[in-house]
Amino acid sequence: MKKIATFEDWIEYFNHWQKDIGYNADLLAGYNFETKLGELHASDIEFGDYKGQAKWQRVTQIPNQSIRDALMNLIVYQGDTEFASVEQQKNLIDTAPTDYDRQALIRVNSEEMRHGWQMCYLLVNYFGDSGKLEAQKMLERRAFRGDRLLGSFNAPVNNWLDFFTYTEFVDRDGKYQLTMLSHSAFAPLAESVTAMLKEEFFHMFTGHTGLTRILRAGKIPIPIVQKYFNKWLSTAYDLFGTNHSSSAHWAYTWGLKGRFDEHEANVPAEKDKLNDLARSHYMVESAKLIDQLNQLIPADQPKLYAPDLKFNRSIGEYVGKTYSVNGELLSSDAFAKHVTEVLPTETDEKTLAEIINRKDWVSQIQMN
Amino acid sequence: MGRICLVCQNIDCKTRGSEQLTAELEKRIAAKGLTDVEVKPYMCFGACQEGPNIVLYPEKSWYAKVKVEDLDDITNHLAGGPHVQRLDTIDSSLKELIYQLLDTGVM
Repeated sequence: MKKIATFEDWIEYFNHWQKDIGYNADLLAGYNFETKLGELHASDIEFGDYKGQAKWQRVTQIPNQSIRDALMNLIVYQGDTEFASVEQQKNLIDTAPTDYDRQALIRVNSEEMRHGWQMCYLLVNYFGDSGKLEAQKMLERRAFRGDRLLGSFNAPVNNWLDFFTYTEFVDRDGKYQLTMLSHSAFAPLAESVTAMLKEEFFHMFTGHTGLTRILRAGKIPIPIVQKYFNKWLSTAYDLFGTNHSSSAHWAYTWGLKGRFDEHEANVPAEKDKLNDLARSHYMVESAKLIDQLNQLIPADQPKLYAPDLKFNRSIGEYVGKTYSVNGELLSSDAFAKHVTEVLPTETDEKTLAEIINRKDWVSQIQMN
Repeated sequence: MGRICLVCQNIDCKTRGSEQLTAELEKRIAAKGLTDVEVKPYMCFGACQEGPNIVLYPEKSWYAKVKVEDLDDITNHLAGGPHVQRLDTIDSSLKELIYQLLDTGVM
């Protein structure tokens, strides 16, 4: 491919990416890939050292290169997740349990592609040669090769329980990230993510209703569902970043990324605990959703739960540690055994495949 | 089948007052004597950023970002008054998908 000079060049590259990952572009017929902008929370910078100044409309207005680099990095990470999720999920289209699910999956994929498109639009049009290069690289990494930037987005999505759990919990991380970016001092980013956020809710809805339908059908054993919760929630915790993150600290100080509740926060930010704070909000919300799901489980069966924060972490202070899903510190041998008991195994996937083949594993929805 | 007002009750909409909205809507419908209309909580419509959402079913009117001060207009619509155009802001493809879901009666 030629070097990207304009956004039209990037679109050509995007079409090539679709073909390369094997996404059937005919499925997207009628979907209008476009940039969408939402409303700003405020026209002035909302927090940090530049609070009260007009939000930046152009990169040249940003006071120094460190801030510009940090901003571009935030956009690159956000965009990378969007394309990665399509790569992870595309194989499920042919195994959708109903026409509705197929249509919902295609909608989710289309919107994730559009979100990646939107991030690349910013990179190509605002960040010069380095932005164009990053927009190109974003279409060159692959989830199935394991070189996407964040761990969750390299993990396999092998079946529809994976998909529903992913959209329930990993897309919910997206809600937090987009909300925090919606307060950004860089107006084009804030406007972009506000529009993306509207679409993200349907993705979470797909996950929550999908899990609801699975539990209503009552065919997939709860311990198997729990293993997928352990898989996706533990990696979703990582998506919020490390405790005491200096990059989060500086992103706040520079006004690039706010708190989840920035618009209603009435206390100063604890800048060394920003990631912890967002993750705490997320965990409370996830617990409420799991409570709702548990109401669908018969009394004689185990209830679902979120794994402990210390379990199966790939970043931060618990990485490499042998904590169980309940937060108990295990010996190395005990942990190796524990992992096979609490994360999906090949045997679980085979069991699941047999159940899913029977078609009654999820409450059916027929399109009228 | 009677008419139903579905009020979303997922986490985001609850924080925006959907429980209060549900209670208030019930009162106003009762005060208007609309005995064929039932108010029901609904888990989610997948449009939480636009919430709280109220969907009138089977008529299929979707009102977004509803506030208590909008309820008289919605009640008036239920009583035969005009569609509340200013609250009809959800994109048509999402509406269609959710209406199809409601038509199944599954959720």
